[in-house]
Amino acid sequence: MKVGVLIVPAILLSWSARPAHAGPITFLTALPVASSQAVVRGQYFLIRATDDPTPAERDLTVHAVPVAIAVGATPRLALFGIVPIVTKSIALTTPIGRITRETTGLGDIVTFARYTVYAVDMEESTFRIAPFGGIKMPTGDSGGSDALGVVPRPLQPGSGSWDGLGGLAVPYQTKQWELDADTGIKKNTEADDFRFGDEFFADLSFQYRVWPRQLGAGVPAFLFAVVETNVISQGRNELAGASDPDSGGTRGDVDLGLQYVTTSFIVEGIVQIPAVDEPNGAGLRNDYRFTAGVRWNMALPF
Amino acid sequence: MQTNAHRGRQPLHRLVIGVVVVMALGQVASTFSAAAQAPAGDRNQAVVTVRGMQCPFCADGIKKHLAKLTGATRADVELAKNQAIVTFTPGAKVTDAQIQQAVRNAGFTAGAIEWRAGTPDEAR
Repeated sequence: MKVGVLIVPAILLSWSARPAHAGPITFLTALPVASSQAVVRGQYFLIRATDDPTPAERDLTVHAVPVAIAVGATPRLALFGIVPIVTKSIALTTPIGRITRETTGLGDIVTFARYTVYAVDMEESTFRIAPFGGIKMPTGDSGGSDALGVVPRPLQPGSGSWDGLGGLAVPYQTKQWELDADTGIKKNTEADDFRFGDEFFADLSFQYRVWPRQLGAGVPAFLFAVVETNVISQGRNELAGASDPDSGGTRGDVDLGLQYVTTSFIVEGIVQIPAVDEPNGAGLRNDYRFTAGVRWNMALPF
Repeated sequence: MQTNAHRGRQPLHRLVIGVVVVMALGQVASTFSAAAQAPAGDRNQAVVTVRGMQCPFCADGIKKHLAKLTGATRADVELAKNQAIVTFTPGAKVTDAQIQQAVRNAGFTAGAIEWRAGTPDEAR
């Protein structure tokens, strides 16, 4: 329980999804989707966390490939699904020497719906307010083991629990820049005597068009410089009803990235650097997180 | 008795005929209304002002929805001008309301629609 306490929030942050302007990179809830259209987003991200205050000198690496599909059911209702493949490994010093524990597999699938309750479209800007809500299903393995026995829950690909999430996404967009925000909570439930702490998250994304400087005829591709911030606060995990003092905490990242947007696809990359990292107890601090991804815009046959 | 029953149904018959006449008149009015918005003569190209379209990714959704309209031969977007341009086959039966609905389905708001003459290769 003392390892990887902020891994799950970090992954969920990228899952917290949203209609089809270009949209943020580190969160999905503001993603714009037209009716009868689908947006498929594939990402790879890497998390490194090595700042360990304990003698165990823990060294955590997470590789994840979340694939998200967003479908416009109606002009205002969008349905999202996220299927992650996750590899988590941790190296640590123990009385028997330096060891590495690792798990790989399908993570927990997240589905949610977003409904645009308020939209103001003007020629030079658009503004939306869209609440969203959904569930995280326990599709990932939560009881995997290695040669040393059962791997601690935070290192498992799945949580084992059915969890609910909900929040609000607010995008504002012009042709020159875009500002997206979301905030929400994720309520975690118990499974096999273990419960991850509940989570609060808030994200902000500012995208500024750096190329082309002037819009020409037709629909030119855009290159955006992207600055984002992510704040996530997680309560302590509980094992058999007892709180784990070395789990949960609060982290705030500042992210710098680039996003190339065409009519049919987007290529993007961003680096998240912790600005505030306050894990509870002896929790690990993140060094950085790198995310790269592509999105495709496609028509549905119905 | 039969005569009385027949007389008893007369008001019902009149009501049915009245409803049918009203519906027929409504249909005729609707047809005239639609025809008034449909392209006339050689004006087969609709220039639609689209509000809310701010980036290339949104433009694609609007193009695809407009291209699905009956008789549409091509759909283009002028992002800087907030315009979508749809070219139809000559004589295509399309109304402004259908075009506006297509823009709404794409998640945006349609403004004024201007009809002009155009060819499939001359969309802009």
